Amino acid sequence: MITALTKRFTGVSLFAYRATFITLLCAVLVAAPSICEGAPKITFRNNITFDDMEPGEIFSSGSSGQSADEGSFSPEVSWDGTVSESGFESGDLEQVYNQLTFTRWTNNTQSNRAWLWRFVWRKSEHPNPPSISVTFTVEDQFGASGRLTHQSDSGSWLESTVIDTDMEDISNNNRWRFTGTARLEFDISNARRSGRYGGILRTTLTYL
Amino acid sequence: MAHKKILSVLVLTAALAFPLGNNANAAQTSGSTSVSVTLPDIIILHYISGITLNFTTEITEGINEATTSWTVAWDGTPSEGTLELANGASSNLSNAVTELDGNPITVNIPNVWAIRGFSSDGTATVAIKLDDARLDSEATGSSAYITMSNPQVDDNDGHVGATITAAPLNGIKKSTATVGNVNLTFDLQNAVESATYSGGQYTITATAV
Repeated sequence: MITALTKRFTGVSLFAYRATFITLLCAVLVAAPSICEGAPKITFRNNITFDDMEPGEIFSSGSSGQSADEGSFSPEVSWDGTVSESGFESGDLEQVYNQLTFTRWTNNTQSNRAWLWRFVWRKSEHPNPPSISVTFTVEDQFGASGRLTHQSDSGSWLESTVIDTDMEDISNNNRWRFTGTARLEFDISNARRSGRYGGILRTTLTYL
Repeated sequence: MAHKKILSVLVLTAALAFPLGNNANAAQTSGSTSVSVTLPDIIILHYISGITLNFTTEITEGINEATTSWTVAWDGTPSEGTLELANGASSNLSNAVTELDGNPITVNIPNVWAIRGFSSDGTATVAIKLDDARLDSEATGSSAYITMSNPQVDDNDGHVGATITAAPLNGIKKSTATVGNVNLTFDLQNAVESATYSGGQYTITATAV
């Protein structure tokens, strides 16, 4: 680089060359400390499989099959077998579940992963602890926001929201190291099928 | 002079660069993670635990079985008549408007079961069987009874039978549950008295496919 600069400035005096070189060097050193420090190493998980939902997360009994007694029915019947009254309408049905949502953390207690993201920065390059903020978005394979969709039925989907986050400081003497997890809530109101639901969790880290 | 110009420009450049380099600008980066979760089979069956069918319309009908004649002896003993009825036989009686002899009544009982939930293809199998097909008269000392047969479930979606497959579950919300009917056939030939008949029972079983 010095050689190149020297060649470019062959048309000017030695004073101009030296002044130019010193000034540019100062400018670079002063202007870009962040470049000199190096960027942190940030890693995101490629995929996370959450633990299967259990029937007990909906039904207090824990069984996958439930029944509800809707009482008795005493209609009048004509001699040709016609019953003109209905036993019940869908709006009359008993509610037999406790919840329509379940939650999972992305860490290894409720999924196959230990953390969702990891941030590593050398203390020698960045002596002060970083300030990190995290945001999340969820979308399915069709780009619908806030959904995980059934693998074989696009009309069957879970509403998915990040409802909690956690960050762990595992720094050592040499590096700032942080890992993070998120807790997702899944609403099963619009699910039609059992089986696997998938989507994309996008994690954005902002650090200072 | 030219040197001074160059110096001025370079110093200015450095001065402009200085505040830029010392700005504590926040950096941002993002990553995408594929996530997946699995739902189990879930099925909810709603049912009516007691059904009382009230045949409330009285059948009163007079049927003219035509005319006949008897020969009566002077001691008052009649001879046989010329028609079956006059002979004491009933096999050729005229049919009533509502003829129950040999004509069991098939009753379609609407909206007495419902299913909802999840399965691998979103449907369920629903079956009905008779646990006790006989309904006995509750009248004291009576031996009259009614017999049920041919139980069927109907999901109001084109599936009717003792066992139906592909009945839609439509998810777990009550508002989208599949509500179905039950068909039962009643034979009243041994119901010789007006009374309440009880004791029959059917069972509906819903299975996630």
